[in-house]
This record gives sequence, C-alpha cells and structure tokens, in this order.
Amino acid sequence: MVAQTPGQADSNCIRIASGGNLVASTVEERRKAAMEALTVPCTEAVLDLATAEVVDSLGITLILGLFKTCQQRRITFRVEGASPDLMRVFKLFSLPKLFPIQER
Amino acid sequence: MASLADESIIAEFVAESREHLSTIEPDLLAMEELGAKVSQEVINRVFRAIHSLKGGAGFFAFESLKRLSHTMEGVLMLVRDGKLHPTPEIMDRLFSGVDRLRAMLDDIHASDTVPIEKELAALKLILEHQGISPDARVLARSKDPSHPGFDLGAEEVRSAIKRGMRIYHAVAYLHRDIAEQGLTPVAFLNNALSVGQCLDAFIDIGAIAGLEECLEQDLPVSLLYGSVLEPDLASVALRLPQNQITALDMAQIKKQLKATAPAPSPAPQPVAPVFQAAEAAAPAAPSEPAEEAAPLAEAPTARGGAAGKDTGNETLRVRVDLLTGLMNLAGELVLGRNQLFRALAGKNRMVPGLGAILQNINQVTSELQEGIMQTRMQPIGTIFSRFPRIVRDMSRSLNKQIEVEIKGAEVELDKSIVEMLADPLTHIIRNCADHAIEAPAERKSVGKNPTGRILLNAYHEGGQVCIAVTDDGRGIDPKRVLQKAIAKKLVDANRAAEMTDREIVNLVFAPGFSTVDTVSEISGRGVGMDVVRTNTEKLGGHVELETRLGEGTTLLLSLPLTLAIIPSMIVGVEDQRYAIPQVNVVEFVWVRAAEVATRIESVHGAHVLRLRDQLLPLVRLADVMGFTRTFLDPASAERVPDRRGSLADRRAEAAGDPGNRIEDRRKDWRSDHNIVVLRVGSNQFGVVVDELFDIEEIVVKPMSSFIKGCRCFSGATILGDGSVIMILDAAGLAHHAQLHFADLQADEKRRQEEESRKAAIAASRRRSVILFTAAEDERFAVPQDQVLRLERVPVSAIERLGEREYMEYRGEGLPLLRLDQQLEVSPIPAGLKDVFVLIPKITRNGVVAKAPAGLLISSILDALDVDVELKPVDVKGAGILGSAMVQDHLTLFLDPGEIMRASGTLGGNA
Repeated sequence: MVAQTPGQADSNCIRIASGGNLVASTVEERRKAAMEALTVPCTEAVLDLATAEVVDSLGITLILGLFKTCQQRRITFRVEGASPDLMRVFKLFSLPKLFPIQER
Repeated sequence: MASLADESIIAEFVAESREHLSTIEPDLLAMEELGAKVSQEVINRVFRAIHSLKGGAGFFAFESLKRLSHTMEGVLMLVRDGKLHPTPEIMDRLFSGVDRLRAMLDDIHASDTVPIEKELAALKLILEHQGISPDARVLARSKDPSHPGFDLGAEEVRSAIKRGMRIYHAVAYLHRDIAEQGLTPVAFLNNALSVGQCLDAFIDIGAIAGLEECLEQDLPVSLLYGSVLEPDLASVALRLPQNQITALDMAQIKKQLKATAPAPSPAPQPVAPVFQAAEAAAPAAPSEPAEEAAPLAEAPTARGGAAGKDTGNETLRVRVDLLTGLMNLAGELVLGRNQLFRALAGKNRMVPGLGAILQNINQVTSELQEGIMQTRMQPIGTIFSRFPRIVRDMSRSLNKQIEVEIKGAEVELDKSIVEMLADPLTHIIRNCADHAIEAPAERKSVGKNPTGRILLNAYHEGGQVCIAVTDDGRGIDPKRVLQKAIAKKLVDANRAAEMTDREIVNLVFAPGFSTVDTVSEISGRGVGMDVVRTNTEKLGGHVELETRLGEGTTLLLSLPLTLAIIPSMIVGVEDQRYAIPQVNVVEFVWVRAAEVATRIESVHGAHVLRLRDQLLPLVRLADVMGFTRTFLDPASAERVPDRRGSLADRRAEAAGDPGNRIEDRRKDWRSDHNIVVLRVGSNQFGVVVDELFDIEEIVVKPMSSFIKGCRCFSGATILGDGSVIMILDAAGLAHHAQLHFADLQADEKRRQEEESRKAAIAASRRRSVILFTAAEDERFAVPQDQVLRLERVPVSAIERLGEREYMEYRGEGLPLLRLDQQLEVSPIPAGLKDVFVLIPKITRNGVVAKAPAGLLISSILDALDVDVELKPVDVKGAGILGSAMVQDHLTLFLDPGEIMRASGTLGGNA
C-alpha cells in the first residue's frame, strides 16, 4: 500500500492506496506498506480501493488487520473507492457494521 | 447484490414488499383518521411491514431502501410508544416515505439512485424533535462491533421457513475453506447462493491480532444459511466439512418465533438473540426468545391482508407465470376432453366401462380447471384499497372533504381482470373527487353534508361481477354535456336535437370529451371516461352511467369473472360457427315463418322483433359477417342466394302468381328464424342465426394481431372437433350494426302513447246503447251502462199529482219525466195502452243509489253496440250528448243522469 504525500490530505488523516488488487500475491507487500504508513501520527486512516478490482480472502484479512490496528491505536478507519462488486462482498460479510465503506 | 443473489429471491422480496406497502395503506389512513385513538394492533401491523421491508433491504444490500425504511420505523416506534400522535403532518411524511419506498421497489436494482433525501430529512426532523438521533439505533444494535452477531429480522427467517428451507449455521474459514479451494469470497458466496439463501453473515474479528500477524490468521466467516438441502448435501454444496455445518433445530425456531408475541411492541427485532447462542465453534439451538418478533399468525398474507389467519403452512407464494402456464394447460385439457368426447360419441357401448371412464375424466377435468382458475382469483379489494389514499391526497389538494366507503372488497375476479381494472377505476375515482364532489361550502349551500361520499361497491349479479362507483356530488348536467359535445364537434346540432338525456350523458364516454374548462393535475384532459369504457369492453364487460342532477352519479361496470374458460352458446350461420358467451345470452326466440309478418317489423329501416310488448332490434349475423345469405329452396332442396332484403317480407302472397311454386316459402318451416337475444348493459337485441348448437365450455384464445381491430370478436376458440371458431362480442356486434337503442325506446314510447290515445278515442266511439222512441220517427239512444231497469207500465198505472206523474216502484212512488218536458222533442203519442219507464243508474261514491225518477218512453227498438262519432245537434236541452246515424236513422244520444239533474229530481251531484 502506498501512503499519500502530506499536503494532499488533511494533516491528521492518512490515505493508504491499495495500489491495485489485494490478493495473495500482493498482500504481504501491501501489509508492510500499510504498517509503514501508520507510523505517521494521525487520527484518521483511509484505505483507498480505487484501483482494486479483486480482493481475495487474504485481502479481506489484511483489511480487517488494518482496521484492528487502527482500532487499537484509536485511529478512525474507513474505506473508500470500493467497486460495486467489492461493496457487495463487504456488505455480505457485514463489514460496513465495523467501519464506514464508501462505494466508488 | 444482483450479481450474487438469485434474481428470483430478489423478485420475491420485491413482491412481498409491495404487498406489505399496499396492505398498510389502509392502516396508515386509519392512523391519520383516528389519531391518538388508533389501536396498537394497527400501528403494529404498519410497523411489522416496514420492519420486514427493512430487513429484506438490508439483506440484499439495497442501502437507500434500508435507510428510509429504518427512519420510518423510528417514527413509527414513537407513535407506537405513545410519544408521538399521528397527526396529518406526520402521516404526510410517512405517506411520502411509503410512496418513495414503492418507487424504489419499481426498479429495485436502481433503488439506490432514487433520491430519498427530502423524505429522510422530513422524517429525521420528527425524530430530532423527540431528541432522538435518527442514526443511533443502527449502531446501538451492534453491541460489540467485533462480535456483530447475526442481524436480520424474524420475517426473513419466517420467509425461509415458509419456503421449506432448513436453517444452518455454517462456518467457513477465509483461508482454508475459500482461498485454498481456489475460490474468491465472491465465488464462494455465489456458490452458496446457487443452492440456498444466505440469511446473514459476518466475520468474527474478535481474535484478530493486527497488521503484524493478521495474514497468519485464518478468520472464520459465520453464515446463517437457509436451504432445502439435507445437512449432508448442504455440506457438499457449500464445499465445507460437515463438522462446520450445524442444522439448527427448526422446531425450536418455529416455537420461538410463535412464542415471541408482538404485543405490545413489535420493535425492529433482529433474530440475533435467537441465534446468538449459535457460536461459531459449536452452533446450538437458540436459547433466548426474540423479544418482539411478530407472530406468524399475524403476518399479512397475499389473500387475507393484515386480518388473514394464515399460518405458514396454509399459503404458498406462487409465481403468476406459473399459474398462467397451468391455466393454459387446463385450457388445453378442456379442449382435449371436448375432442375426446366428440371422437368417442356413440361408442360407449362398444367398449365396456368407457362411459364411466369418460365421466371420470370429465369430472376431474372440470374440477382441475375450476381449481386452477380459483388460484388466479384475486379479491377486488386489492384494487379498492388504493383508492382511500388517492382520495385522501386529492381531498387535501382540492380542499374538499371526501369519504370513501368500500363494500364487497372480498368479491373475487381473475387476476388479469383485476389488474386491468386498476386504470379505469382510478380514472373514475379521480373524476368523482375532482369534478363530481362539490367544495364543502357549495355542498352546504344546497343543503348537503359538507363531506362528500364515494361508495365503491362490488357484488355478483347474473354470473357477472358488478362494480358500482357512486358519488353524492353534483351529477352530470345533460345540457352542459351537449354544449361541450357540440363545441367539440362530437355531435352535430341536428343529431343533438333528437338525442335523449340518456344518450347525451353517455357522450362523456366519447374520446376527447371533457366538460371541465381547465386541465388540472388531477384530471380534465378528457381521456378518462373513454379509457374506462375501452378497457372495460376489452375485458368483455360494459359500463353504464346513471346520473341525477344535483344528487350524484353511479357508474356501473359489469365484468366477467374470468377471461380464460367460459361457457358459450355455439351458433351457426351459413355453415360457419361462432361462440357467444353465455353471460350475454338472455334467451332464444323461435319465430315461425308464418309469424314473421306479425312479429317482425321495420322501424327506421331496421328490423325489430316485438317480444312481450317490447321492441327488440334485430341483427342478422350473416349480414354482419358479410356473407351472401342463402336459403334452402323447397323445390330443389338446394341452397340458393336469398335476395330478400327484409326479414319482415310483407309483399303480397304470390298465390295468384302463375310462377308460384308449390307454396310461398315465407311460410315454409325452413324459413323459421332462430333469434338469440343478447344483453349489452341494460339494452337487449336479437341476433338472427341459422342454427343453434350446444352450450360448451370454451377456452378463450387471444386473437391474432391482424384482426384485433374487429370489434365483433372478443377472441377465438377451438371446438371439440378441432375447428377454430370466433367468439362474438355482443357490444361489438351492436356497435357494428349501429343499433340505436334509445331511438327504439323513444319510438316504442311514442307508439304506445299513440295506441293509448287511439284506444281512448275508439272506446269513446264504441258503446252499447239502448235504442228507443218517445214520439214516432224520433229516435233516442242511451248508454246501456247508464240504465238500471226498463219497466213496461200500463198507462193506467201512471198517477198524476198536479203537473207531476208518478208510478209505484218497489212500494214507493217514483216520479216520472217526459222527454218533451226536458228537451225540444215531440211528446209521446196519446192512446197507447202501455209505455216504458227507463230507470237510470245513478251512482254516488261508486255505489248505485236509489233512482230519483224514471223516464217515460214509448217503445224500445233495440239494444246494440255501435261505433259512431257523435256530432253536435241544435236541439236545446240538458243531457244531450250528440247525434249520430244508427241503423240509417238520425239518433239523439242522451245522458239520463244529466236529464235527471237538470229536472231537479236528482238533487246534488251524482
């Protein structure tokens, strides 16, 4: 995942771009990037899925791990840019009950 | 969700939701009307419907639908708890919400694009006024976000149970059961949905560590899954180990659903408590009852509405296309049966037992067909129920007060008819509210109740269903209708002068007719009543209109019960057969050839049958169909063209005609006429056919688009012998033949009046009289009914007392009068031994009174009936009616009573 440069967003908010699909072959790399992004102090984290078309089981696990970390650090977490198909999966798994998800 | 969920489940959700909305509309109206006095039962019904809709919307991820229904639910909860009274303003917002929900259901997949902000804002304002944050409740229900639990309404569970599903709690691990199986979560869910229904799902993240170790964890997805599959098959279908699937105790679930009574509050209750005990590792039977779930027995049903008593096992939702398919098959079966009977007719004795087999087939076919038709029957109340809301909205926008009363909502019609009635009835109701019912002030000024009334009444009559829409408004003014009709060139001035009020009022059904000067949002475009008539006639029905100026109007729609299989009379003309729906047939009339001249007449160039003192217009089916009429020539026994133009052939008989063969064919039995009397509304007419066959149950087949414009036909059918025949449309035939029933009725009335007048004149001319003389050669006549007795009296028996003469009559002295003393006539000659005394019949108050005097006459000539016209005479004196020639003698007609009165012997008025 790629943290956006300061100035593009609110100073208290970091945007974490998925940088493509969140699948088994990419999740480890994305996980490290996300951890690095969260080293910056913030009150809000936004996961941007604008470029993700596929999220597999590990991808969902990663998103939930990110949410859990934010929750532990009292950082508000939300997801943006989910494709309609992804949105339906998230809804079926009741993820919107955990954190806000905005459809693309 | 569209790509995941089975479309048929979504369609079912939409259908159920629509039904919920239409069911609660009367309840919402009741809430508005009764305000704080509305019963909890009514509020609960509305609540459950909205909650059920919300649950489904949430499950299918229709977010806007869910948000709006959730907010409405919040307002309803306040009403239910008595914290809010259902004022018109609040109900307005709820009604708007219902409308918006309905709009979203109209295109469910685009429901999230329907703007709901306005409705949401209005509803949220109510909640905020009560110190409630509209969005708080959604979150409040998730006690622990890490363990969200299942969140779905009891309705979803019931729905699944109703469809015969078992409910499983399944656990699928994201890595082991999904990723390692080569599946994506989407594919896993797609697979699950292909064999069942995912009632709810969540991922338990309670144990997840964080970003550092998350990828090493295998998170469990908990599914609440409904399927008709057995547990072992469900395991295979879900591609999960059997130990990860637990079938929940259905008996326990049903028991708990039933036990969780709604009263006093059927709050938005997820089933979560029911299933909360079903932990991922060890799913178990539910341990806690749902607090506020609605009982199954009170769930609104398709047929019974909110008051229905159905339990899940007694009703089953079936797709309409499936029923239509069954209906078509039943139709084919009826045809097959008819053909079988035709083919085996007369062969019963050749095959032992065949008769009983055929009888059995006949009975089973009839019962099957009846049963399937019954499944398509819907109560008219499904349409009626929408009108109170329409009228309510119109009343408010028009500043009128209008009540709607519904009777006969339980009367059932075929679904297709009910659906096609929606538009015509809506037009009628809108017209009633907009044009017919006056403003309160106007109603008051004419002594009416300021609240207008519209009555919708459905009932059975004569094998048809009648729907009467009655208002107590201003009625229809024929003069105004005629003015508008002439202005719009719907009728010319010449024709207008001849039209009856009834015909004029019926001009409202003409295309483009409207009496209103301005087009409003509600009506006034002049398309309504035309649509009413056209749609009703398309259904094989007809419309009648009765109106009284200042008192109101009734529109009566008569409709067949079903359009699919109908008993019909098969008739023949010129070797072609046609079916006439029995519902239109009144009677058959057989007019013998010899009676044609006396029973069939011509009025305005059209044939009419005189039937029980009524004139019945006649239509020759052969002419309507454009056939060359033929007749069976008695001489050659061949059919030859019939060149006679008139049925009532009154040409002189050809007895003296040397070319006459055998006898006049107009008196031949083969020239008898078969007339089928048909009913169209309140009018009747006769159709002259060649042959009458039998009554058959025919299966109505739609007409080809090429002949759809032929109004004489309403469809086609196949007879038992396989031949295709057309079904005649009675109204279309009458229209095609340009029958003017009103003209005939007016003519008949005029004719009857003329006959009465002539009969009165004839009665005055024809009389029974007694002819007598007083002096020789002077003849008199008195009506026999004015004579009590004629007595022969010897002249010696007449006594004189001064100027007066008397005789003894029944022990008393009877004064006698002589005509010459009263009139300028000659006296009785002297020298007669005997004379006659005419004792007149005098009646007082209808009772024969004692005669005051007798009239002396010299001789009685005759008692006879005469038919004469009395002429005035110049003879002076009272009691002279006139004179006429009787038996070649001038005779003076007298009124003996008047003579008595003039003589002073009668005293007062007789």
